Amino acid sequence: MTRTTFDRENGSVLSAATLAAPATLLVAAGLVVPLAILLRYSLNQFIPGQFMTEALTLENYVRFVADPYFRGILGQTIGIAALVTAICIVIGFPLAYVLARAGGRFKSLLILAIVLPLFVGNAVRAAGWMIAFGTNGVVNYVGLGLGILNQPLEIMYTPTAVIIGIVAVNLPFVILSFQTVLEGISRSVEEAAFNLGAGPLATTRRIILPLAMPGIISGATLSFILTMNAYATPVLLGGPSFVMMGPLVYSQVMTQMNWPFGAAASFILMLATLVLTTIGHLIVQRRYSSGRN
Amino acid sequence: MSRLVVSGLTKIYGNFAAAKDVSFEVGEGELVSLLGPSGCGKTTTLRMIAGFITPTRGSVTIGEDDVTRIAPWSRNTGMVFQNYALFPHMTVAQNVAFGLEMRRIGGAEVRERVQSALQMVRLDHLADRYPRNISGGQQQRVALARAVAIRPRVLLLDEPLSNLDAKLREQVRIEIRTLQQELKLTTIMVTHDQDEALTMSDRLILMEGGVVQQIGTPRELYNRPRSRFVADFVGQSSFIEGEVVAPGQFRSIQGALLSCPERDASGATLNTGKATLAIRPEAIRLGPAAETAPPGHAGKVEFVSYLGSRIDVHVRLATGEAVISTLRDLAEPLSVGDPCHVSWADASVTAFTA
Ligand SMILES: Nc1ncnc2c1ncn2[C@@H]1O[C@H](COP(=O)(O)OP(=O)(O)OP(=O)(O)O)[C@@H](O)[C@H]1O
Ligand SMILES: [Mg+2]
Repeated sequence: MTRTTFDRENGSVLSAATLAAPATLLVAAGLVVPLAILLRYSLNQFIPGQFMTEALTLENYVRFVADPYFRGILGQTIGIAALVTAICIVIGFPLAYVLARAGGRFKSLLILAIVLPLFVGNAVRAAGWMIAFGTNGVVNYVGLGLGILNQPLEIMYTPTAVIIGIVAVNLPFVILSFQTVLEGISRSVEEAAFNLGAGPLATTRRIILPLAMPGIISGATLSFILTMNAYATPVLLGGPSFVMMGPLVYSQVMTQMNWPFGAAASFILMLATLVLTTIGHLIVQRRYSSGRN
Repeated sequence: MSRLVVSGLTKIYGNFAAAKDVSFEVGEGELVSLLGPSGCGKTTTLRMIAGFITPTRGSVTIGEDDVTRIAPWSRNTGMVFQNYALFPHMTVAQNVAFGLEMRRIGGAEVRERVQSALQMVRLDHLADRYPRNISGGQQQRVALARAVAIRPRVLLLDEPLSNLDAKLREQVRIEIRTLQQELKLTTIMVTHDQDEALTMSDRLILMEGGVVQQIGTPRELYNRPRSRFVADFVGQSSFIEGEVVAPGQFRSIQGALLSCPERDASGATLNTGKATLAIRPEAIRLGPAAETAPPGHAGKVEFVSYLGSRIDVHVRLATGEAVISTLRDLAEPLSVGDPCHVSWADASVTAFTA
């Protein structure tokens, strides 16, 4: 259809594919080429003392899969990503709803409060959490001072610190992608549900959630991917004992100078992310989009 | 079905009253229209009845129950929204079933009632379509079926016909009215279209500026408007402004001496002073300029609008007043600039003091 319109108006065959070509080339150059190089590296051999030896071997992948330590890190990363995403959905949905239904100055203020943290880099924000969570940090200072705590909480260098830190990073993205779909759901559709006898809970479950599902999927996917690949937050708040995939890849490449293994680990990370998000999409789609054409 | 009583209903936003002391009753099985110009508070009133707006003051009673503080989902009103507000992710049948499912009615009965509600609006063949795949008129009927299926105590219609084209509107008007009478639904309909209100309603509530101006049957509002606003909004009128100089005697601003009733529209004696006369267009007779009986006024045709079943002729009297006459047909063709003889019966004149 697009095509015939173009034909008629320009008299020349300018298909959508032709128009998309420059962008496609750019993506190919910026994404596919580095990935191809990385894939090639992951098949190379690492001999301590030498930098990288040209080879075609799967030994890096085998090593990762065989070693329970590395498998543990992958499992831990997936677990944290799932948990962070779940928390983001639970916290983000009501906030996004309020945002979508708010008006005027209150709304601008809310959007500002949500977007403002994005102006500060992840590392800087993680440093902020370090100050808050430390043994002598703000949380303990206030908690002890008010008598809520009788001994200082040890939050730093625990999974809890990492989860809080990443949730804070992801939340703005999640809220904004929820808000977009929620704004598209007209208020009168909700009122129609109320009018037909559905309370707020039933209305949320039967009307708002299904209609908001595309935004929930994209927000959750974003959060999952961001967490799987998180680097600064786990390093700064998790410390040396709590390792996730991002920091693992970094230390392999930059500290151990083991580029082939680092490359293999990143490929495994990418593959795991891709497979899990695809499975997630399929499950949600089957549950919520059945019968929709 | 139940009686609806609205009493002293008021909604104030800041220092602006969207509805002020609105009181009326709708009897069992009665269809009452809320009519008035844009922004007069019709939707506000309807939404207070549905429970979407909390009134500042006043109460809403359905049957024996004061529902003023009851949540909208517990009120058991059936509302048809102006934009229909169908659930886009549900089929026609699922839309209609929703309210029944919320009432925890069993599957077999739901299917049966959905089926009969859809048959009522003659849409059973579209039960499995999604709302976006049916026409606006069909969507309107689905919304109606959905509201009626729950057997609401009161049916609320917010400008139900405003999104339909003129031809369809007339047909749906009759359909809604027939259905409402068959099921004896206590109904409130919001509209700003006086034709719609006059043809469909048992009674009308005319509002202006958040205040009820007059309540009555279509005939009462047309024949006995209590204020100039009502006479102007319901049907057409020619207004002549001036003053009462003696009982039964009126002088227009332009100086024409006319006879006028001795009482004003509310029945009070008309004292001397400023007043306005109103005459319905069908009460104004036009004749050839040479005619002298019945006694009347010389005039000149200013504009002729042909409306098929009737013709509206705008005439300027020799003394300067503008009047409109509605004719079934023209005995002789009248055209702009033609002189004519204008007359009306004294009994057809209504007087307002404001
Ligand atoms: N939330 C609100 N805040 C302030 N003013 C409001 C609000 N809602 C409605 N109003 C005002 O109240 C008045 C009545 O509004 P309402 O929607 O009841 O009018 P209406 O009679 O339905 O008009 P229309 O025929 O245009 O739909 C309007 O002047 C409107 O601007
Ligand atoms: Mg309105």
